Amino acid sequence: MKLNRRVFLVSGLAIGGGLGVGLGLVAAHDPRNEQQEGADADGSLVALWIQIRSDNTIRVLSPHTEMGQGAHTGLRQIVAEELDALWEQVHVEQAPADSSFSNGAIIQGFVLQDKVLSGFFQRVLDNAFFIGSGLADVQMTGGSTSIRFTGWKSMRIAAAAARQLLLQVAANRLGVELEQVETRDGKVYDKKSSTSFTYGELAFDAAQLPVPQNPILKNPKQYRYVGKSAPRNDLAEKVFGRPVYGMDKAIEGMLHVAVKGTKAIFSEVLSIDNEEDILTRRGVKAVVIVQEGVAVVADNPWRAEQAAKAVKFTESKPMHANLSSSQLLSEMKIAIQDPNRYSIVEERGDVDSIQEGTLIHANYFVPFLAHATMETPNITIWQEDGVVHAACGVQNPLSARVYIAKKMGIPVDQVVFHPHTMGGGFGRRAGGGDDMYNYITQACTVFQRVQQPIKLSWSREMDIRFDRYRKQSIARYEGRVSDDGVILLWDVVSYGEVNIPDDAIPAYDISNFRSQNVHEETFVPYAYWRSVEASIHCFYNECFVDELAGAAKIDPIQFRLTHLTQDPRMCRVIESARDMAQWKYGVDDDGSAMGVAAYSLFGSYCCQIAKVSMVNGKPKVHDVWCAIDCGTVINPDGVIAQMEGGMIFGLSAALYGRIDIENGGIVQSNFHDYRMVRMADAPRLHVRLVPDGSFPGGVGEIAVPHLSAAVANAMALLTTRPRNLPLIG
Amino acid sequence: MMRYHIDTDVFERLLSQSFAQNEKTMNLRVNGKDYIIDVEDEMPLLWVLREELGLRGTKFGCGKGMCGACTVHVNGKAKRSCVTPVSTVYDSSIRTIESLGTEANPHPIQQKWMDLAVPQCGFCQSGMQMAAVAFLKEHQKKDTRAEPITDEMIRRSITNICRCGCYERIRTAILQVGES
Repeated sequence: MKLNRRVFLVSGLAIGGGLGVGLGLVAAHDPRNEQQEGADADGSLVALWIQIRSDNTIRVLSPHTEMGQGAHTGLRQIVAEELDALWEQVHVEQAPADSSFSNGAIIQGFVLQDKVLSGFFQRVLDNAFFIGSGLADVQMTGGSTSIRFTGWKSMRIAAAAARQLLLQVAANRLGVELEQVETRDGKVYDKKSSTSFTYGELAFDAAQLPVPQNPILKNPKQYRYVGKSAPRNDLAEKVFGRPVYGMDKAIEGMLHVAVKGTKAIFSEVLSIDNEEDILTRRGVKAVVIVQEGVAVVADNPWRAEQAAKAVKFTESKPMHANLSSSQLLSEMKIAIQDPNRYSIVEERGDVDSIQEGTLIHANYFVPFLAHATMETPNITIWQEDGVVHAACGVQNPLSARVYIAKKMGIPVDQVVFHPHTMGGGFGRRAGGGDDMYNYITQACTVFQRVQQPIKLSWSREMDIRFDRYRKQSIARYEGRVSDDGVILLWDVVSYGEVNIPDDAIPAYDISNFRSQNVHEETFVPYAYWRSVEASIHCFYNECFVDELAGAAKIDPIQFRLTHLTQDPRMCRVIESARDMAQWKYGVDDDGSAMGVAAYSLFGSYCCQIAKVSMVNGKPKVHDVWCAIDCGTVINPDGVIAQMEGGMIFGLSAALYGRIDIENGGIVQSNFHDYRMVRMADAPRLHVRLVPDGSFPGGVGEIAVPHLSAAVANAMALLTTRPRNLPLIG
Repeated sequence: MMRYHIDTDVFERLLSQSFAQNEKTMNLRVNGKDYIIDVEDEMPLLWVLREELGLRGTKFGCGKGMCGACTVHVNGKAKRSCVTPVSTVYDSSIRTIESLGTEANPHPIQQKWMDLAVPQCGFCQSGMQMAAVAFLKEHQKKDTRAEPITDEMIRRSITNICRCGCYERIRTAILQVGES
């Protein structure tokens, strides 16, 4: 996709009166662009995000959905800060799933101009939307973007512009110079008299003025909300059990749908063998063949589920019905031995002629992973006022809405989508990947058949077996290190897509470096999994650098620091974690050992140190120390919460995470064979924020990838070095 | 040679018919209120709470009693409602998140949960808080000399899954409420 758009600040009269400020989009090839400003620009309005209403309330419309990351609270802080508003004055609301609130354009147009668009977004925007929808259909919460781009790059600027307009109107009314008025606590004050106006009183007139395109931003020294912990907006709701997740949606006369899936994924149900028996069960209303299974419609979810379990059907035998993940692995092993299939991710120096130093070989493996959000996939669909309504928690409401319209063969404006807070997302609900909305497809089929309000909810078994998976991958490393501890060679071939080279390439100074990859599509459906490709490459790179340090008999922290001369931010988080942990290299007197990993991701830098013992041949993680530099911190406690949660998420994958495929279907099915870290094996977590005050980095994903490597590196000191995940089978 | 064929479909149908004959309206006591319900004896309490009584604060997580998202109190003890047939609790007192506390009068666990900003996505938190409250109650009952609640005790007793990984704060919250 060629960039031919520009984003402008726009303002205007908000619905219901008052001032609205947001970002508007114009096509850059339009010669009129350069002259046009704001609301007059010839382009689609991206969003009127910030509305200052006549009652002096400030309404912030967030395109992002909540899944526990606290983005709405961070956005509230940013807007309250830049507008000099009172905390209570600012209300953040979920924007509707409407193209007016698409953020695809923000990411593509606004962000790309700032040259921070990564391959990740390129994929999201250009390739991943298998439904063939355009930029205007993207309303994405993913890739650690909410605070960085919507908040810091967009809403902050819009808020500053709104503040400037309010100042201007007040100065005009008072007939004084702009310098004589100031904002404080949601009001504009005359510095020389006691006169003041509330924002609400000024908003209507402010909407008539042209919006400043380069508003003056607040000096960070004056911040009162940004950088201070704020309670999450949804905290009380969640503590009292009141949020309405998609699964809690209830519509008058709603029927419940449960699905029994096929044995192999992407298999087709040819016939139902006991439909009549199923229909005689209590509460059962219909039995419907859907994509990859049979759906049972009943008056209660448990009756539907019991009936679905009893369904017997005959399914097709797709090409992959004999395939297994171990066969795929064998094929991968052959592929990474064949240079004809490689492509180069990055190459520096002269890799082929280096013969000095100690030679180290290592082969690593990471398995397929499922997301296992606590709330299993579900959607409620009903008809009201002649249009289709759908209620569902997704990371990309607009794309889900467009998807439903396409599935039902109706125009998009005939679908109203109600985004709900999510019981976890982790990429499963992001809409970028292979057939992400498989549960929505099934629900659409059922709804069109029964023509009654329905809620389709998946069992945990359906969730695990029909997820879209983090890819299985392998890598073959070859490296050389000199006796005095200098990396002479780093040569890697990995299997799997590399969309984000930055996440695959280590930050270390290595003069002779080559990273190559092989990627061939398999039948296994893929989706982003929290931290995306770093979840794979951090394990490889951070284990291998440790192996090189070990070969040189150098403290792995010292070894890392000496190879990071160009990366002061990474050095700082490593030193900080080292000091917190009171780092000790080698096996301690109590039989434990520490392992380290450091990685940067989505603009943030993080180092984690794990203290590990072997208990009955298995790793037991006692403590993890985590230092994070995410540039500018908006909500410190929110960042700490994301670090804590990210580490546990990463540890579940490191210790237990593994999806296997046999006969074309997923072997695992529930928490007994797809295990999670629980309280009993959750280490004590110690987080320190060491922000450097630069542009905010993402925090939702950065803490995830490290522990697989850090724990493996500790285990290497205690037992044989593990090179395959998970660390406990 | 003769073999017996058991037609499982027919068998299941007969079984469900026999259950149907046994149907009777029953009384269920939840959060201090009595409800008359008419469901199969084997329907898990979870689905009675959520669908028959509209108490949707209690969540479905795994359906196998493994994750604890569905934890409620039955006679003051933590119980995984997704694997508790409703017929086994007809004579019991059931308590759900909806009656644990209110914003005006939160349970000490809820207050601490807010003070420490425990929840992230929040989906497991109803069950997690119910498990925590039952744990504290059981401990206090067990030992009147108030043996301090330890990290290890919490690790042993709280087995609920939190996919967002809020364990550090959950443990801290329980310890602090246990101390007070």
